[in-house]
Amino acid sequence: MSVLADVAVSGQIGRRAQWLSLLRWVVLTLIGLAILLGNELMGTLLPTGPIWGVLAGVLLYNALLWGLTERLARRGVSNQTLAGLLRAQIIADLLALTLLLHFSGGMENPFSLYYLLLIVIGSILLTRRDSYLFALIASVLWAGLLLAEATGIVPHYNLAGFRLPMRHQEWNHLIAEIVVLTSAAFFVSYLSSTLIQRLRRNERELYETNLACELRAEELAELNARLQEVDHSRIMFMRLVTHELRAPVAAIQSYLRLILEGYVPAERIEEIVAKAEQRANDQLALISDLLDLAHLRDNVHENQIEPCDAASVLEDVLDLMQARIEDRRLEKHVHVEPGLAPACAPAEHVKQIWTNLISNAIKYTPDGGEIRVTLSGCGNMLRGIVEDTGIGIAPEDQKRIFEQFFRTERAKSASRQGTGLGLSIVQGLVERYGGEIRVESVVGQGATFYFTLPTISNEHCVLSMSSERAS
Amino acid sequence: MAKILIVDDDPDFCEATRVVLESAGYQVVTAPDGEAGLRGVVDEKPDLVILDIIMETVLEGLHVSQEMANDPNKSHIPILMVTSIANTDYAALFPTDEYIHINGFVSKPISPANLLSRVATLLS
Repeated sequence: MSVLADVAVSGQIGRRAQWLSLLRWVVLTLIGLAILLGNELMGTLLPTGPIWGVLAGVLLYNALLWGLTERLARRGVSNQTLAGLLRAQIIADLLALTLLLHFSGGMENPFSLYYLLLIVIGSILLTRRDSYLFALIASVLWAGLLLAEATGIVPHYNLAGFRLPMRHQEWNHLIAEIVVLTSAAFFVSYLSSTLIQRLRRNERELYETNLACELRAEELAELNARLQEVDHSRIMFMRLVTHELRAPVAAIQSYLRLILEGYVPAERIEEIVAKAEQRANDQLALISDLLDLAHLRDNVHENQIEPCDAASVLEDVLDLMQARIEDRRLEKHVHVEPGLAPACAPAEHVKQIWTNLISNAIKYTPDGGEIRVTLSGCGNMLRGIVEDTGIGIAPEDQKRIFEQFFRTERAKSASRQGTGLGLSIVQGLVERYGGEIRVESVVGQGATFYFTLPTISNEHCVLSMSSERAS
Repeated sequence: MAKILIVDDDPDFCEATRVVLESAGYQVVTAPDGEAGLRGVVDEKPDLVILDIIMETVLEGLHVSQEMANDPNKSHIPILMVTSIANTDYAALFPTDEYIHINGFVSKPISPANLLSRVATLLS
């Protein structure tokens, strides 16, 4: 049972104990009235002194117990202790009933049936085991009393005029009394405890369901907040894209106007045109990123995939990047396992994956750093690793870098250029062909991107990349 | 001749503006973001600041103009705000209900003649 359910139950124990005490006041009052009425109607048949004594004892402990359990529960007393207190009360009640029966005719008194009521009450308040315990105690007390009275160990008080005086020594009847009460006691404890257990289980299930509903509601609220956040960032993104798309055009237009209107000295015209062209190239790169991203959603047909040699694609990409790598005085290490099977992805897309990952490595690694590119086989998959000694990615950002338009603060301050789309595109491509991608990084020490792509022999292979970084 | 500080994160815009202003004989310095712009105001003591509204963060330029307005050492320097936000989504973000400490607007792409006449007016 969960801790929360326990708390709920301990609140219940307090309420149940209070109910028991209340019940006891009612019974005491009724017995008191019955004795007074009996004496009035039939004269004094019984030793009223001891009976009043027993009632006074019950009255005393009931008064002491009034509200006690609830106070203890609030003070954080354990459920076990509270249950023990209740158990002791029921046993005291059984004893009191036995004494009352003894002083009011023993076997002759039909109120022996009240043992069963106490057992039912015990089942309601406590566990099934307690219920059987009460049945046992009741049986022993009743049998003990009848035998003690029959054998004269204790005196028998005859209900004169109500029962025949010698009935308490008729052995057949006596044994029948004991057997009936004992069997009835155990039967009642079985029935009532079964019933009460079922009720309690239902109650607990209801409680747990409620709890689960509350948790679910919290989850939904959280999800809703997240959706709103996504929506908000989408709007902000649209604004950003609009701005990013306008800015290069405005810059190019400004340059052209300067030349046309004669503000640029002749010797600088070539330089300014080159700047305008560079800007146009940047613009094209952004637009093609946006298009790639949109194309990722297109359906892919297996039979349309033309496999390619990932190693030679890598070679081409590295050739294209060579100038930038030299510019930044980066140390480049390339390791390609010979004889790899072709990748089950078109050359155009494999090229995009390599280009994006390697150009990120170059962009975010300080001058003089190191870049390591590895391509190897892993069962029916190819595994590419692009490692750098750059600025790195903080743990909280590592999941988000694959989100569209997300750029870390460090990336933004390291390089102004970047649409925040490159890694989304790479992830989309890798997953599209049945591969996986992930990153490991330590801020300030560098980042390592691992990806897999299926070879033509098989499309699905479990990644076992985690041990790589350590080596 | 007057010194003009251009604050814009777009290097091409800085360059184009510089060419126009230098053709008219002004001395030009540039800063790539709001923070560097505020430093430039102190270090370079320009006679005029040309400020882009949208830089790394939206409305960063507006923030710079407010900072300048709150500083008595800077509040006397006229500001020409450059914007490409007219008729875009950003226009909705632009605060219209409060006083903006700027002395004029020009829009991107720059019209050289217009830019020079606005600058000349503000400096006179």
